[in-house]
Amino acid sequence: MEIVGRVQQHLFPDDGNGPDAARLNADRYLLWVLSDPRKDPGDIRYIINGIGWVDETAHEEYEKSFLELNGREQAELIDFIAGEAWGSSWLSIILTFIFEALVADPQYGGNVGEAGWDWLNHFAGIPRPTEKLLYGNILNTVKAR
Amino acid sequence: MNSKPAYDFCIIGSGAGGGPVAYELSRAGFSVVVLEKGPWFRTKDLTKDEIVATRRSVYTPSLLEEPQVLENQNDEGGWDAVPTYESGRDFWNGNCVGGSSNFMSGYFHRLKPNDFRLLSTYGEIEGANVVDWPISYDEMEAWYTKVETVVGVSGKVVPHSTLEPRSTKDFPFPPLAENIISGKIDKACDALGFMAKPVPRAILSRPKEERFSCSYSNFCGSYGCATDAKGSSRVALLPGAIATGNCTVIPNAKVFNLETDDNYRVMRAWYHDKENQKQSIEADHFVVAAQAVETARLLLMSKGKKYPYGLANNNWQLGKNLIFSGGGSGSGQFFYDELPDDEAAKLAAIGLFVNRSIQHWYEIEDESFGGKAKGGTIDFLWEHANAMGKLIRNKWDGDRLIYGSELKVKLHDYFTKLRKLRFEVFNDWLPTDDCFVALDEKVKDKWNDPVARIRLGYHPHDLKVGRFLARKATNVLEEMGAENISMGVSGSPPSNLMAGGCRFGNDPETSVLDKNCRAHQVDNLYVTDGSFMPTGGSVPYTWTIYANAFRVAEILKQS
Repeated sequence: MEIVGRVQQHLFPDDGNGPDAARLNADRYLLWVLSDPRKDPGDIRYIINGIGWVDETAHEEYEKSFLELNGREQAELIDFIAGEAWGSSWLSIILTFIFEALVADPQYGGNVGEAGWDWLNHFAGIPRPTEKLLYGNILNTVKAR
Repeated sequence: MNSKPAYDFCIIGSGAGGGPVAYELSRAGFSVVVLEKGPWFRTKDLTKDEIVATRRSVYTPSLLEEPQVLENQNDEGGWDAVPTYESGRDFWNGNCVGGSSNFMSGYFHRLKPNDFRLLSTYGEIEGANVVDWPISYDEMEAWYTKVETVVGVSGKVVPHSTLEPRSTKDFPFPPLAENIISGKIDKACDALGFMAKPVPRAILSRPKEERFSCSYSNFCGSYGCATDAKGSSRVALLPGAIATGNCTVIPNAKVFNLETDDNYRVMRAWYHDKENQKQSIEADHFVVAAQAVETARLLLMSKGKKYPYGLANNNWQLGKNLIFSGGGSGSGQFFYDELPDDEAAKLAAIGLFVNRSIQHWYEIEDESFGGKAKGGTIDFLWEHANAMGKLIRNKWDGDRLIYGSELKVKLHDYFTKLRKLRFEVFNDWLPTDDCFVALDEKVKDKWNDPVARIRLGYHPHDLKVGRFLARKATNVLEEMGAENISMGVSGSPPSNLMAGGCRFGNDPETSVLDKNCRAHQVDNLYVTDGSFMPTGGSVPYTWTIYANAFRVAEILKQS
C-alpha cells in the first residue's frame, strides 16, 4: 500500500490548492474499497495487480523499486505510465477512488473534516447518512426489520 | 375439491405499474398481495449519500449476483453479447418497494393525441414496426388527470402550439420554485420565435396528506426523497392500499415462475423469499409489472403445458419491440465572473428547479424530413449535483489523463466558477426487429435462473430526429450566452426509460396484450408496467405508465 499511497500523492499532490491525497486519507479509503465483500473480485485484483505493474516498470526503467526512487523519478515514472494504455487505465481508477475520498461522506474515512467539500464549495445533500445507513450497513439494517 | 385462492389479485412489482392497481383494487375491497423482488426502504432510510445512491449497487442488484446480457451491434453488422458483470454497464433500475419511481426525477409529460396514432398520422417508416395504439388519447385523458391528483403533479398549464387536450384547467399543485435561469430560457426562446413551457413535475409543491412538500435538497433524480414530496408508488399509492387492510406487500420476493393450468389460467406465482427459499402464492388474477425487461423475462421463463415457448408467447411476440427513449443531450456553461454579482449569486443558488421544456417541434415540418414528421421534447435542467460525476468527467482531456496540480486547478475552477445548464432530448425510439428481450442460454442469476438477454438495436431515424432537436436546443443556449456548448446524440439507450416487449393491440398475431392489457392467450393475466406500449411517444414514460395502470385497475374492478 505504500506504493499506491505515493502514487496517489503524485496524482493529487500537496500544492497549496486544496487537500492532497494524504490529507484525504485516500490510501486508507482505498483499503476500505478493496475490503468490500460485494466488490467484484476481478476489480480488486486489477487494482492490486496494478501496484505490481508500477513496481515492475520502475525496475525496468530505473532498476530500482518504485519506493527507492526519489520524488522526481517517481513523478517521471508516473508520467511514463500515464502514456501507456494499461497505465492510464489503472491510474484513472486510482484517481476515481481519490475522488471518492475527496467527496464521499467523511464517515467513510476520506474527506477528513469535510476538506473536500469545503475546497470545492460542494454542498452535500441533507439528510446525511447515519452509521446504520452507510453503504455496507444499509441493506442489513433494512433486511433485519 | 377446489379451494378459493388466498388472494383476489397477485401483483408482481410495486412500482409505477403495480402501485395504482394495488391502490385501486384494495380500496375497492379486493384482497391484494404485492410481490416485490427488492427490499423495503422506508423514507427514513433514504439519505443523500452519494456512495449509496449512485456509486454502489444498493438500490439495484449486484451485477455478479444478477447480471444481464446486453447485445450491441458491431462494425460488421453482427451482435456482440456481453454480460453486465464484464462490461460494468448496469441496466437495472430501482429494485425495491416502489421500484424505480423512488429514484425518478419526476419530469411528467403526457403523451399527445398523435402518439396514439403514429402510423396513421405519419405513415410507415421502413425497418420500423410502427403501429397505432388500440386506444385513443381521449380514453387515457381521465387517467392522466387522476394521476395529477392522486400521485400529485405540480405545474402550470400555459397555452402552446402542442398542448394536449385537458379536462381540467390547471394542475392541482402550483409550480415548484425556479432558478432565475428559467426566465433566461423563456427570454431566449421568445427572441428565437418559439416558447418554452413550464415542466410539470411529480413533486409536491405543497403538502398532501401525510406527505411533505419539496425541501429543494438539490439531490432528486437517482436519490430517494426524504420528504415524500416525490410521487413514488411507495409513498403516493402503497400506503393508501395498505391502510385498507386488504393489501399485503411482501418485499424480497423474487418471482421466477407463473404456474399455469390446462385451462389457460395462471394458478400461482412461485418466488424466492428473503432466505432464498421457494414459496408460492395463489390468486384469482395476476398482474405483472416488473418493468419491461424483467416482465418479459418472467413470462419467457414461465413455460407450461399450454405455453411451451413462455407464458403468452404462443405467437412469438413476447419480448419483441422493446423500446427506450431516443434522443440525446447537451450543455452550455455560464461563468459567474461574467455576470453581475447579484445575478451570479442567484444563478448559483442550489435546489431551485429549471423546469422548462420546448415542445414546439413535437411535430416537425421540415424539408429534411420531406414534410411532417414526429418530433419530440427538449427538457432543460441543471447538471446533476452529484460531485463524483463532475469529477470523473473532468479527469480526461481527450485521451490524455489529467492528474497532479493541473487536475486540481481544473476541478476547483469547474466547481467554483461556473454552472452548467444541460438539455435532454426525448424522441421516439422506433420499435424494430433489432430491439428485444430473450433468455440467455448460458448466463444464470444467483438462483440459477436464466438472465435476460437484451438486443439494443436502434433505427437511424431516431438519431435524425434527435439531432434536429438537439440543434434547436443548442440555438437556445447560444441565445442565452452560454459558453462551451456541446451536444451528443447516440443510439445508446437510457436504461431508465424502457417500455414495450408486451405491446397491446387488437390482433393477437401481432401483440401480446389486448386493449385492456390482458394477455390475449391467458385468461387471468394482465401486464401494467410500460411493457404494453407499442410506441413510446417523445417524453419520459412514468406518467403514462401510472395513468394506464389506473385505467386497467378500473377495468379489473368492473370485471
